[in-house]
Amino acid sequence: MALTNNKKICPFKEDPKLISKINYKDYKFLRKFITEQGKIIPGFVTGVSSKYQRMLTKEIKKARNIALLPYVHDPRN
Amino acid sequence: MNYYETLYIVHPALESGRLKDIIISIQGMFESKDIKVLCTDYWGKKKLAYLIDKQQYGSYVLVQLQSNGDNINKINTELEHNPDVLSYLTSRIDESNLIKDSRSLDDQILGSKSSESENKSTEAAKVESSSSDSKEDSSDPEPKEESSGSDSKEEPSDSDSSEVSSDEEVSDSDNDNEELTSEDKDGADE
Repeated sequence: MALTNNKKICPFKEDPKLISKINYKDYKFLRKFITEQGKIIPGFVTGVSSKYQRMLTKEIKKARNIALLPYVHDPRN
Repeated sequence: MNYYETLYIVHPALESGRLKDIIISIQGMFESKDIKVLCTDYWGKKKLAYLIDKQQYGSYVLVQLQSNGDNINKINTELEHNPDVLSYLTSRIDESNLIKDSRSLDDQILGSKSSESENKSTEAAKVESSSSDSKEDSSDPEPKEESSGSDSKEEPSDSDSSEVSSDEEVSDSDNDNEELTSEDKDGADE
């Protein structure tokens, strides 16, 4: 079995300035890490390392609580 | 002493005068519980991601607090029982995340519309400079700026200024989507 070498690089390790954007108030940035349905995209798809994925998950859930991000996609909108 | 921030949503039906009264009464409630209010930031009327109490819109207000942490649970129960507050979220923050330059409440509530239009125009300019769009796309934001400017001039005479702002925001958020879709369409046509 040949191992493929297309490993994804974590965007937050590439550009540490982005780490300060992991905040529920910056919900437009967090929108990159949820699907159209509103689900959180898993880290193995986006390449985010587990440390920052944990931070993202917490902040996305906070933003959902205060209605900045949807829990589920609303077909009326 | 720890630092906290509370983001709460005020009912959208309240006009700018009553909104200010409610923000001040909530500030007084904080101070009556030995919590120091460091700054208040009015975000403006925004569309909610889902309906809360059958409301589609809400006015977001962010308050940063300094407290030793004893009474933070009590302010949450106060906000829970306030009928004008749709939803709230309190979280602990670091000292580095404090907002340093804060404007007065009047400026924020009355001037939020004009500043928002300025921000949007700068954002539109950034979008234009970053992406090599066709002339049709670049021509769209210009009429918006003109219309928003005329609205801001008329604001002092109008009593229904809050409604104007909500309409503007709706149209702008829709326009963002439209721009994306129009780009997609262009790509599909090519």
